[in-house]
Amino acid sequence: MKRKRQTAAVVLIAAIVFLGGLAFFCIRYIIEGENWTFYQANEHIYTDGEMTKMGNITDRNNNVLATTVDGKRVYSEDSSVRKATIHVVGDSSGYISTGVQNALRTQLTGYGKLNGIYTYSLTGNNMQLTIDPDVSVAAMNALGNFSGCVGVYNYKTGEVICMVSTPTYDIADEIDLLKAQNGEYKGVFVNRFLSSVYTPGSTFKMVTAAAALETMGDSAYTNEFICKYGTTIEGEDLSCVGRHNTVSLKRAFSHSCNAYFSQTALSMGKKTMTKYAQIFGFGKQFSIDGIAAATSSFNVEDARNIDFGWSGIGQYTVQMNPLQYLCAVGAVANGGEYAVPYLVKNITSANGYTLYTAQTETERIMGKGLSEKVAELMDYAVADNYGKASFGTLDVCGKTGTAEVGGGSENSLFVGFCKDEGLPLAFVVVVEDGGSGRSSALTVANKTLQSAKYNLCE
Amino acid sequence: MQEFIRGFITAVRYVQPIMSIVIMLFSFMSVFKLHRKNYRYTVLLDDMTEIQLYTPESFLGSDSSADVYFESAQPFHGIITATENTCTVRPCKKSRIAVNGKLIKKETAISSYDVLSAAGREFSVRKKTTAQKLKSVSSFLAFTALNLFQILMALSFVLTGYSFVVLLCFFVFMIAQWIYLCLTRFKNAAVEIPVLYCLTLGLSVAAKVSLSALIKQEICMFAGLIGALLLYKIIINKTLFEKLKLVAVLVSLGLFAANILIGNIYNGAQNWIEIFGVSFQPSELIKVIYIFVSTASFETAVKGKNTLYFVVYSFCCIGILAYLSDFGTALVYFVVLIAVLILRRCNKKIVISICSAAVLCAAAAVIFFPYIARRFLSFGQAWQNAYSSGYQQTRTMIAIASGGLFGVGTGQGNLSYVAASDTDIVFGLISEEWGLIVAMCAALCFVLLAVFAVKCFAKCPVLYAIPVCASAILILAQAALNIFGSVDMLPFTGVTLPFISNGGSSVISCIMLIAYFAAAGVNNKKEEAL
Repeated sequence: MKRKRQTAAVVLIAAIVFLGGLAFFCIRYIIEGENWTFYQANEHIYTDGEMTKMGNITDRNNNVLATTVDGKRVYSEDSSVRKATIHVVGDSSGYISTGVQNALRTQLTGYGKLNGIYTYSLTGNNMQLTIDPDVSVAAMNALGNFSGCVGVYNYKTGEVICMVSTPTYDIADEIDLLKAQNGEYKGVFVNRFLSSVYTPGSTFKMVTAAAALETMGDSAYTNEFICKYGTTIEGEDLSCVGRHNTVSLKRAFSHSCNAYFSQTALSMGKKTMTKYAQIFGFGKQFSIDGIAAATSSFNVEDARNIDFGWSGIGQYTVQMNPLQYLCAVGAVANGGEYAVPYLVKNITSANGYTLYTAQTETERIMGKGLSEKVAELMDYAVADNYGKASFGTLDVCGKTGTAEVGGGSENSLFVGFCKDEGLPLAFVVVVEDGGSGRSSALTVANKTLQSAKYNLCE
Repeated sequence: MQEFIRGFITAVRYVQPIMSIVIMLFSFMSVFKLHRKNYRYTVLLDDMTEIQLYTPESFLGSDSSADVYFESAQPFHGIITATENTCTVRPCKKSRIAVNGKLIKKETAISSYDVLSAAGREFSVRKKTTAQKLKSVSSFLAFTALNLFQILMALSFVLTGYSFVVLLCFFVFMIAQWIYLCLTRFKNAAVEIPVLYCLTLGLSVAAKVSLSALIKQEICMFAGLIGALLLYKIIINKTLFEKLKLVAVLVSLGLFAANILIGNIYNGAQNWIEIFGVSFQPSELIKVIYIFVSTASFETAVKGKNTLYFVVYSFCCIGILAYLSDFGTALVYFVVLIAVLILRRCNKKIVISICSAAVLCAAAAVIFFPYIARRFLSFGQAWQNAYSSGYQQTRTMIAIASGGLFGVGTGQGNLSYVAASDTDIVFGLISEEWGLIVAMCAALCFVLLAVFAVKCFAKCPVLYAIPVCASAILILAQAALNIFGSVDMLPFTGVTLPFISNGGSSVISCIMLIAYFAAAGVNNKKEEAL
């Protein structure tokens, strides 16, 4: 029977199909394994829908922020610490997706594709954060009933000292689902510092100033514009808060002259402005330890001249992200390169092995000369206008912003850094509906920095 | 002490997968080296032409598909069976063949120097051996790895708080396997060792269920082994094998009748019967008989006869299974039927028409029994129904992902709390506690059996080649339905995983299938050498 040999191929084909199925499953295991593991019905990790197989989360002083006791996840003993750190730590049900408990769940549980959820000690890994709870509480209290966010980090090392977002809630309280449906918890699960974008307002003037300083050289300082409660671009008014008369760069920056910077932006052109916006991180996605932030945007390609003028002072469609700004200010303070911010100081297994230690990494975004010139402007702004004395003994440089966000609302912003050798901190403060930047955001920044000085420089 | 146990369990975690890989690697190597030929047979005709015989069985006649074509002969005149050690010739019905001038009536062994005559022509069959030496891979390493695997498994059970009876059961099992492998052909244990590996996993799964389940499972394994030996004794005798086919058909139909009349409904399917306090699944045991009936002698296979009876019998079985709501098993039977038809070189048109008939039947089932269709067609949506129809599948996937490649360790898994964790979703249980590598190695065992069957096909008589391939297909189909059903890649049918699922009838029937592998592999060595 000549063809007999071929008929056995049916078995071979069946075996190959079977092998193909196994291979396909392996691919699914690699791609979807993590999602399968972190399904809430997995009792290796969850108890009653709460993630419990995780190690301790501690702050920079080794105080416990979250731990598991008797199969239940418990948080800091202090109610205000719980509220101030909830957005960093995250909740146990996964509502706050950017909290480390959710975003870094694989590190906390010790999950890996090789070992599954197995760890030698059968418990999760411990994680020490760079957060200071007292500074966080001070920032939260300073924000008070306002919605907003405060981010403070060490621009030399990259340690994030404080990342607070309001409104917030106490995780020890059971979430009332009925209230949640009525909008009681509206926005509390969002970490505004990471996941929000805001209109930058006048804080954007540091970008416009940088563009002018580098393109025009020293003539940027002498170049003058006339401000009569604003200016007119192609027949449309662009208003200013005061009548600044003839202004040059330094005074225009410290007194936040809209006329000067919109005209400067126009004279720079869209291409140059876009280039410098990109240098300051616009359009790029930033992240902390792999937790991605929202992406800022600066898009003037199709803007009319008047709109482009508005964009030069941070209005129009310009959107900044607080984390992006923190990095940008960090670079200005640190000679043009920012230390990449991180939250996780180290990860250790339950039996004491160090699995990960954070290291300072820097990224250069602008030249040293330019950063120093922008820093000098921010220094002058505080000295000339807001007053160095507002910050006590701290040598603070910064720029305020009052962003019109429609409906008569104004967001208040203050971004800057401390020049002090012992306290190299950069900060970004946003107070929603806070009025002018000078009134609310500056106060919040000051209270936070004073607390940082008290708690970090002993 | 506690620290020592943790250390030991951690070591076991990594050593067991390595042992599994060693077992599979060497078993595959020996299967691939198996049945290579360093000889060939040729027929030397009286006009000095030579015809090479490519298959173990060849026929001479005037039919167009004849290997040795004699114009004046009957269409099917005679059959030459040429295996490694023997060469025989037998005349077909009403035809005459003479060896050295003497007419023969039944199968007769011949040597290279015998002159055969048929239909006025003279010829002889010559064996030529090439110089190539065939090295066989020793099973020693695989067997050592298997033993180590078993010892570690037993110890990890005891160290994590299970009873010493578990250790004892593993010990008894190991002794039995030594005796078995010593008595049979230890040097060529390419199939046995992977099967023993799967059975070890089966024992471990049973041990997790309960001690009584473990003891029952072990007794059933031994019963299966005895059954396999008996079956082997029967089928090794060609005439007895063919004669008993009708008896087998009657026995299977009788079992089915009993199932319909006195069967118990369990898990939606009426496939259990209880006799004298022992309950079993007739459909599992009938699998062995079905394979038994599937075979055909070379003559019938070549003439394409006998196929109709088998098709009718198959449809009886499949119909009864569908009536009993055991759709998974019915599907397995159908796959085997199609494979057997192809193996028997059945007309392609018949195969295609049977397939289309089956598709029509399936369509009819979808229309008239929508709830069945829903169960069958809901695969791929387990995560959307994680708390209803996809409960077991999602828990299986969670367990597999949690276990990783090396598992969470004996007794540390959570899947054992889910229903049918020892049968329908047993792949997940193994994967969670002992890791994906071990589970994949178990799955590769089924592939190995298929490769072995293919290797046998080219070298042994059709009578044995068909059942070995049909068994391989049956095992593969069941494994595919079980494994891929449990991870939501195929419908979740509740078919058992061969050798591993906890359940007496299943393990007995699967072990008995090994008799077909043994019969195909042995090659009638007992018969007189050429």
